[in-house]
Amino acid sequence: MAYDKFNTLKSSAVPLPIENVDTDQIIPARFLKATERKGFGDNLFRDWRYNSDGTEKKDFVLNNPTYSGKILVGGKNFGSGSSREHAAWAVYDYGFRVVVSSFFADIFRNNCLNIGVLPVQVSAEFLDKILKAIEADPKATFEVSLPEQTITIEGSGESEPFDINVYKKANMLNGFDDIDYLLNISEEIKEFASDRPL
Amino acid sequence: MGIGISNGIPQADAVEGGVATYKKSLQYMNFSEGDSMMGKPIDFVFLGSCTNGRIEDFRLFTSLVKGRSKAPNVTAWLVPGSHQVEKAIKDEGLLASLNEAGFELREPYCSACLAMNDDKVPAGKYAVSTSNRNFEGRQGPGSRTLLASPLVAAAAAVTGKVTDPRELMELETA
Repeated sequence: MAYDKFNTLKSSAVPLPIENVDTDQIIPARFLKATERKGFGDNLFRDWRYNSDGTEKKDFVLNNPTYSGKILVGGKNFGSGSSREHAAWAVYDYGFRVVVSSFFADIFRNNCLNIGVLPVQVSAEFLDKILKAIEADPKATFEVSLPEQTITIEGSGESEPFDINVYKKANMLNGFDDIDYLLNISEEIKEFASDRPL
Repeated sequence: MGIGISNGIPQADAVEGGVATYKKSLQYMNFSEGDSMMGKPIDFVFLGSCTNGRIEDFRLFTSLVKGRSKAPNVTAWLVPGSHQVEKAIKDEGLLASLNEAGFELREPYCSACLAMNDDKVPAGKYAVSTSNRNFEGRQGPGSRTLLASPLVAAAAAVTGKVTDPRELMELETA
């Protein structure tokens, strides 16, 4: 299994209401060199999170103990810019399983779906409601149901559906990446191939 | 955002995409609405990247710097897009002209497009770059990027400031 299965998540959320967050902010290029996927979370939002001397920038949300949770709530056009898969790895490795935005850059969205981060695209109005709920109570919780394809503000009960590709949905429920999916149906592939000429 | 080199920096209410985002960008660049780009001092010039590291780009750049000299305040990184391009630069005699003007070639690589190696623009410094991405910190933490064509990069490299290359070109008359 490439990553932990995703079914339903109840969590508080971390607000980052900034538009056009690009992958160079999510993880700067100088941290891309690695031989495995682990450890990228340390450099998630590196230059927003740390001063050049390595000390924490106290006003950045990830350094604010008031906010925590497995849901990151971003502004419109989240994940734009270079197509680096490391951006999605960094989000996952830090501990987020869901990113909420009113619009995702296409490549970032697909990278997330491939590696176990659920991109939840909501209307601008619902995004605003989520941010207001966090503003009113930083510990406000949200329920993200992948089977139901809904996100719910637990305090008010307000809910909105979200779209997801059916294949990616099934994979995420199983914790599969594309290779896991193929390995899982290897018997069927062999059977299909057995009566066909090479 | 993109503007013509001889146009001023637009007012916030004239741009799409939100006033707050725009003002944040200007603050990062230390520019003001209504500023002229022309004459703004620069520190680095980067000719390269998959966007503009082709032999045509080196021909254009060389055509303008030939017979001139690199401005002393400018650090210039000229990075061919591939070893094939590097070979063509030498075979076509461009390298000799570049060297005479005070420029050197670097090994083909991504270089200052994304600052994964040591080709990093220091915080607060300005780079005229022929790459195609100018996100905050893209060319190094705190770096300030002006995306431009090879000709604009060449004009900046020899004058040390943002310059309209047409002022340096011998325009054909009808």
